[in-house]
Amino acid sequence: MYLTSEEEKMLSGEYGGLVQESMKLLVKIGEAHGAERMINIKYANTGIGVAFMMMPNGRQLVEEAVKKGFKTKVPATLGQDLVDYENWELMKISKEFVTNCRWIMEMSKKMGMIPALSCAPYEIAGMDWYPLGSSISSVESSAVAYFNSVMGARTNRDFAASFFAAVTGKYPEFGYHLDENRRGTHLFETKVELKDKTDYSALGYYAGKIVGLDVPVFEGIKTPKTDDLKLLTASAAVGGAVTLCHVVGVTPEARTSNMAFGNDAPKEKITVTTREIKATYEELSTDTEGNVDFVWLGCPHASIYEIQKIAWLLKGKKIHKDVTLWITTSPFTKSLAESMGYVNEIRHAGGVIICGTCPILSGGCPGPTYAYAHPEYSIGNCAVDSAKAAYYVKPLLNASKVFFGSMERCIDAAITSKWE
Amino acid sequence: MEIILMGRAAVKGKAEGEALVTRKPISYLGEINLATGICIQARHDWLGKTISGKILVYPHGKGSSGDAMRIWTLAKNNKAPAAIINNRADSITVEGAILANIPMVYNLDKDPLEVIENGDYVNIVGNKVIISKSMKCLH
Repeated sequence: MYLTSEEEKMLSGEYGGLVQESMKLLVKIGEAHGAERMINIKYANTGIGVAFMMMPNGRQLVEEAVKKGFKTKVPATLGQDLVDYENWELMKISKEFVTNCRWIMEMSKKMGMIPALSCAPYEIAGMDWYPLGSSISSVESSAVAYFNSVMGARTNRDFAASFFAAVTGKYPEFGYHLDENRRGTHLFETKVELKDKTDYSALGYYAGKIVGLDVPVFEGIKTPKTDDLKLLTASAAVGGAVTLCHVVGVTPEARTSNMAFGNDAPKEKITVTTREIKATYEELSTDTEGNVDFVWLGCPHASIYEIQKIAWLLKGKKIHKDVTLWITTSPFTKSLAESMGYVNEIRHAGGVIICGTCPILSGGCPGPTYAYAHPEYSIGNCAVDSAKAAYYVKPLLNASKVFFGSMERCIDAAITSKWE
Repeated sequence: MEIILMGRAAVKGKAEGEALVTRKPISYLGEINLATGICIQARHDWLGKTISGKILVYPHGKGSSGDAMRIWTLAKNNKAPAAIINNRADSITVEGAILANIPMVYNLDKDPLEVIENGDYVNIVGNKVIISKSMKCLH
């Protein structure tokens, strides 16, 4: 792999151990994919927690760097956390775990990372300015798909690599940074009216399953909102490993179908009707009716408009005494919701807004680590309005029944404790 | 009977073991209990099977980006697969394999899902995959 003299200096340790180790691992990643050189990135969405866990001597290297006043080479955000710093007791997270997470966050802030603490940082913390087509590096499969598809940035599905990229400002040139890998492969002629974001979610999951690692192009989608596109991209990244999709007439690299396919013919054409969408709802639900114990909304993290809608749906209503309602969002969006009075209104109705994390990342209970260790534990019957949540609640939180439907149906279930 | 496939090594190394094969992509978050290495996804044909010590053969990774850490966590818990063989390399799987130092080969000269079956004994040396067909396949 070709390295510039500056990159060689990074690799030789001239800029300290953290930069050196990060560069070493970026070179390994680049070589694994056959990259020929490094490129400069403009922004990274990451977390330093990964460095502590996965890098050899990571903790020590970060501490040394912070002591010397090290800052990330590019604007960076800190992705979602494993705790809610206000609600950790309710989430049954240990004090020790919270202290550790808080320390990691404080160290991240010292390196200049903005604590978006969200899986949807694009909705809240911005990315600093960058031109269309700029290379970035991001964690979080749903954010990766959104950055690529909706914002026209270029990122692979990264995890620790996004931290190495934040530290060095570099990333090996492969995958979705290259024009030839950004062309559409499968055409989805969408001949169904998508009523709400949950329909978009079902479509995304369906397409993801078909394309795997390829690039779906959706034609026939009229006027999606950002929350619709958030659910579409997030769910495509669960059904498959979709890193990028195009929506003709909507997303920046697909003003026309020809532009989306780079003038090539699609590998496959798929027509999506109500039948495929209905079948996806059925596939992601284990049952069609039953009691509901837990309702989770906000996967990916709810926007202020989603919280507004929930608050309005709950107006004058009470959550059933046997039901837990969690709405997950970022701390920033929660503070907006607070200023609007929604947090109180939702609390008054019996719901809880959890911020910075979610049940499938939480270090408490419900949470996967707890469920792995306690096979007898179950979150109970769970209702969700996102295909991503529907896919994960059963294996990770031992949900007995999974109900996948619209936000309205989920709120109804929270009030009546019944899915009908 | 022995078959040799050549591929690209994302992580060069040596490994051997019994093959566990699926045509479905893998999300380590959704499919695997990280404490036990056992598949917990009811929608997956590996349900109830352990991936520990196995040579995993599947098309590619999918789902959560945190799977890089989950592959590493499996290794830390001594529940890691012996090696990973993929048709195509998802960048998240590659990261996990690099950080956990698990041999990983992809882009083989023949489709591994066509050649390798559950129970075959597989040896990996760098970018070379040597498959000894299990007895059940001989008759």
